[in-house]
Amino acid sequence: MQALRPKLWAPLVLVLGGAGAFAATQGAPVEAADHNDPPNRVHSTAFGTPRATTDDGASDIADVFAWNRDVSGTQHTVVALSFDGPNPATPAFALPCDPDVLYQIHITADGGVCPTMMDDGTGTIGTCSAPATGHPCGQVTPAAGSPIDCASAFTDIQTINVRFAHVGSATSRCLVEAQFAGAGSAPISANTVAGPIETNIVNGSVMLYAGLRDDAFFFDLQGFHDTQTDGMLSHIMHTRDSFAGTNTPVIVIDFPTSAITRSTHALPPTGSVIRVWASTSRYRPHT
Amino acid sequence: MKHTKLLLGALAIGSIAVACNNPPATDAGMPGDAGRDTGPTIDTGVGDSGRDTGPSTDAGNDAFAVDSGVTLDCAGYCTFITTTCTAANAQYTDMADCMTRCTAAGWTAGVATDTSGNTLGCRIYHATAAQADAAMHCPHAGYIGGGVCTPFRTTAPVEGTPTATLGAYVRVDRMGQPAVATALIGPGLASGVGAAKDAYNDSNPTEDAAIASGVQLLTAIGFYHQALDAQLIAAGLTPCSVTHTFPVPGVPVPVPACGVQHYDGTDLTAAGRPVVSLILPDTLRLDTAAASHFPNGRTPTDAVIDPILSVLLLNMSLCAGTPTGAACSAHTTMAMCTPDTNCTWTGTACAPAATSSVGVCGALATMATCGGNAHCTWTGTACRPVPCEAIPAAATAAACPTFPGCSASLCGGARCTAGTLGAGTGLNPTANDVTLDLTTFPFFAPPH
Repeated sequence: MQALRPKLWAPLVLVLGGAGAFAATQGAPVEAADHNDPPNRVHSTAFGTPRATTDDGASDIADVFAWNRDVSGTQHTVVALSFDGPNPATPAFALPCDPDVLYQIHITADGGVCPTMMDDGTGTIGTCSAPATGHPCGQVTPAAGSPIDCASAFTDIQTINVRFAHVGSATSRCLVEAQFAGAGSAPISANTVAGPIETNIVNGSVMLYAGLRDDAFFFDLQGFHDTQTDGMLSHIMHTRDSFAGTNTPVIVIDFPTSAITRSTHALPPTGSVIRVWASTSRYRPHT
Repeated sequence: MKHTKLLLGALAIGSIAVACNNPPATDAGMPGDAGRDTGPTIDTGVGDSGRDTGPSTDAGNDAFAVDSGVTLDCAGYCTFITTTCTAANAQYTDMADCMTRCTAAGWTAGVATDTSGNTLGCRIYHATAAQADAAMHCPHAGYIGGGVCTPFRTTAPVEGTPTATLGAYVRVDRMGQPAVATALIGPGLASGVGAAKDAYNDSNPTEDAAIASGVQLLTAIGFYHQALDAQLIAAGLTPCSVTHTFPVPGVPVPVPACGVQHYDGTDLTAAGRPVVSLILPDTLRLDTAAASHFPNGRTPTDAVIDPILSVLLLNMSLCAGTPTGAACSAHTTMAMCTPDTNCTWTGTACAPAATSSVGVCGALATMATCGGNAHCTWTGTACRPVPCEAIPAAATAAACPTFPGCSASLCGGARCTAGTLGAGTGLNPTANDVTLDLTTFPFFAPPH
């Protein structure tokens, strides 16, 4: 496949440049993928500069990945979540072993823009009606009770909760735990896999890894910034990867795809398509 | 005395086994703190029942039941657990392993009646209980604590708002598709980027299409087109339209023509579902029965930014060299219509040209007649124009402009080949700086 000539695609950089320029007027940086975003919470200063002490780097999602693979004839799904990146190789950066951050990987059945099929709560499946005012995803009427908004019933079929903890009082050592908490079939009898970071952890057919790795995202951030500065499109280069040589903490979970089919209801709603997204939350003590 | 206490402990184990019923299951059972490389594989191995939230309910057992007489130090603990939890229930490889890890962990001593918490006493308590049910209790007594003597926060993993008496997890960030939250939330909004992003991150994908996020995404697409379309045209590209809109079920506002372009879930150039479903709701869509590369899921090797930009900015119906009347009608201005040689500006609208490439090739009803026209190609069932990008680069200067819908700058693979962009040969870098092995866990390359 022949590579595209950069100059032909130079206008596309304005998409990013435009975003950056707009963002600059709001006093907030804009970056690609999801690194350093949302700016009010995770990185309030310019990209490439140290975070402010009030910024929450450990909760900053960088990228989300999901793909299929075959493991000895068994269909597996891999989900990965990187965070608190990118970081240069030097000075050394360590995975922030923050016990107060909850990392969640959500897996739902595919419903397109809105769910088209849903569980009506009685173990049967209803069909969402046409969208209407106040019910933009439509409603379904269960066998008993009031109509239910389809959107509100578009719930996860599997949620993987990931947390970190220090080993005892030794803050230099860190453990990671991934818990399958959804309504889908448990991939392992225990639901949970845990162990030291920076290590492949295996429990039955589930594998977990959490640790510092190469930041797999690639993008010409330098060209992006230069274009932001003077509006010249020629800065962008498809031969330059601003994320080259950088590292980011990543959580990787490999599990049988059977774990994301429902067992408690007569679902999945439709076929083999799933939707994956991730969130982070920080524990806040009582007021 | 010590033996007496052990006996008394054993007598009470039954009650412990009943009460100790909801912790999680795992214990690495191996030394941690390996290097940053893939390191050794650890088989956690130990299973248990599912884990509920909050601390263990393994309470209410009286002190005598667990006063095993084991001293609250690593020597006492390791001596006890390496004789109580053995074979399949072993938590350490041997006494030395236990001592090494216990010493390094530095667990708080606690007391021997601790039924939960990350203390040495809790582990000894459950090691005692393991004398009656090793499979259940040994994980609790082990290094990670099996969700009972756990170092992990046991707050229910549910987001909420802290109250006067209870803490809670509060949302910070969320993500699905790359760049969506970053580039499409905020632009064009008077409320400002930061506030819009906070509101977006506090919501869930179920709300994306229905409420502000969906409207913001569509607003942002229009915002970019307003700024960029003239330059896209100047570069020989054909923007998709944001002024022609169409209703889409489930989306409360009409969707620009850009958003109702189609892809088939795995190929950004193939017909199928509207592109807007790629970003609304903001999730990665993965068909587990198909090969997965963006836009079907996302692997660490996939180029993602250029394809997303392409489908939101460019008229993808032209990418495969198969212009349609619908594509012409999407050009709402003469400036947009004129560059598309398959269309003609009527003075008030953009209509398919009488001699459009579809017309030229489509009129050739047989493979033989189709093959006789260098501008056309036989698809097996019909004659269609040769895609610009399929014209050899060597022929660009002379031959390309004579092809319907093509110009010199568009041949040789340079028009809007989303498939090509998807392979990572677009504006941005084509691949990661290091080679990734997607067959070997954990897939991501070691750090630099």
